[in-house]
Amino acid sequence: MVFWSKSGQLITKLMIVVTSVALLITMVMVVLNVGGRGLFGSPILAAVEIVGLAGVFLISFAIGFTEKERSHIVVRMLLSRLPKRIQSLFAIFTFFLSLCAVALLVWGGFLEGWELATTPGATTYVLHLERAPFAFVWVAGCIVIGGFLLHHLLEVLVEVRKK
Amino acid sequence: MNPIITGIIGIGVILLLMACGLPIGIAMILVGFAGFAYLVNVTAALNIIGTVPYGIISNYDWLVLPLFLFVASIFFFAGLGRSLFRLAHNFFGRLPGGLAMATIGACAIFAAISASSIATAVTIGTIAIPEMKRYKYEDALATACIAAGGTLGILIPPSGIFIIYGIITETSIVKLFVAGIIPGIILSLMFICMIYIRARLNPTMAPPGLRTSLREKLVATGECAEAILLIAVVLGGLIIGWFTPTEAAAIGAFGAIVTSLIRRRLSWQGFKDAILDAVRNTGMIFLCLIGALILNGFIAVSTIPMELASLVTSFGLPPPLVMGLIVVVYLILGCFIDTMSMILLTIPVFFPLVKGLGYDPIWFGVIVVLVTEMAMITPPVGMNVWVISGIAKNVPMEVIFKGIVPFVLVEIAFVILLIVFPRIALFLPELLK
Repeated sequence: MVFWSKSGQLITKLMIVVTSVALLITMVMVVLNVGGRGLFGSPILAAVEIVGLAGVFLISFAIGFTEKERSHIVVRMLLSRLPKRIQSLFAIFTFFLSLCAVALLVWGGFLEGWELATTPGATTYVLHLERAPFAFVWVAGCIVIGGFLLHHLLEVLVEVRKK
Repeated sequence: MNPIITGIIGIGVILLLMACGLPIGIAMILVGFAGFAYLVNVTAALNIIGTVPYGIISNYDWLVLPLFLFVASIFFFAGLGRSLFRLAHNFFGRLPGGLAMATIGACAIFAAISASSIATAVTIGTIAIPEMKRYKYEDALATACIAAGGTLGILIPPSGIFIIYGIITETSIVKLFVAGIIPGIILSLMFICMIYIRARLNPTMAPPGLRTSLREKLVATGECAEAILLIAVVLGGLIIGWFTPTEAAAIGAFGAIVTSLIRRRLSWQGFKDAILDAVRNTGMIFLCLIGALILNGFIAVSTIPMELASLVTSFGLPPPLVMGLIVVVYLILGCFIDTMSMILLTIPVFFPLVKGLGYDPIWFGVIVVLVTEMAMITPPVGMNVWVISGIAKNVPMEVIFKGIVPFVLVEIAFVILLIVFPRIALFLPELLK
């Protein structure tokens, strides 16, 4: 249990660092690009591409972070009126469905990444970077979401069992 | 099974799953995938679920959203709300209902740097509510004016809802932003006028505050100078065509950090909190967007939008009546589901219909934002009201909702005005052409 808890904390820290750095890179690159274009008449080479790729890191792990914080948009109007026990059953049901959705995203993302990896010339337009690794970053982000969902599901199950 | 029936069942299942507490984004992903797999085939559905998310997250243009969220977070943690409120207070404070009017003014200015309604309500609300209590304002007015003022955050650009609408309907985000300016100013003025009239009729509801000197007004203006300058640069740059929306957002975020550091408003902890807040909101919105675009594929193959358009045409209803009915549907939906879900679920269905009726997509975007605003303050879901009740803990929810009624009536009047005079919204975007 301690191992899982420590692993969760480590992943969270890593996620925070990756998303924060990606957000700052996005901002700085765009500002430098605008400045370069406006002041010196020379935009930064492939700025749009670099920013787009930073976005992959930012959004892939931001969704996981939001799940960790349980901040995804949920309508609680009806559920909040039900008894706690029934609420827990609904929570188990929804976490299970969420895991199914994430499994689909992982599988779909993996197929997309695999196709990019096996298609010759599947690179970015200016820097000619392979696109496949970035598709797998999305898959990694989805796996992190799945991990947090599983953690939340187990928490609810333990709570139900205690009661 | 008939594709239309499948589509209708799909939408019903989404609503059911949402009621069960499933995150809206996940509900749309599941139903979008299952529906598409049923109507087309599993391979095509797997293809969509693989390509759509990666297409969204690697798209440069979509990063406008996290960057504008970042701007709002920085200013929130830098405590800009206090300076904005002081500025508006110094100008309006001595009038009957002056503090409530100042709150609307502060919300309108903060809205011009924030893409979020809730951020606007929280930022201004935490400062304005104690002040209004000090001056013995009625709880209903004090809380309702912040909840309603907060909704200006999604009408006055930059607006998160405009960005999402623009992405889903492939409408120019710049034009949508520009289209929101005049309606935002008019609606703010209508709120201010309504508060003034009510305070004149019932002086105990909102007593006047103290008169301030010109020097105090100038000092307060100076305290907000950087925010006002940043608004001018960001919106001006967008309108003139210097920047794309993503560039404007990045410059806004960079400017917000630099000016907050120079003013020593932003601590290291505040900076870290601002980043995490922006990341959290980014994750929340992008899961919904991924779900919405996966669902879009299913809605398209279900042929619901086309069938709905031909059904409405066959009835021969006049277009303004159809628009009125759509607005009513939004008002009813807004009472039960949150705004993001409402927009993402309905736009794919209504947008082709409205476009088919010959209405301008930019104008419809403004209407959608206005009805979304109303949804944010109408019971029982009204998100802004929930947020304000969290700040004003001793004010019962029903008191806030009672105070909201006049603001909702003003908004309804404004929607009617906009349906009758679409040029209110279209005047500025037309100048861009």
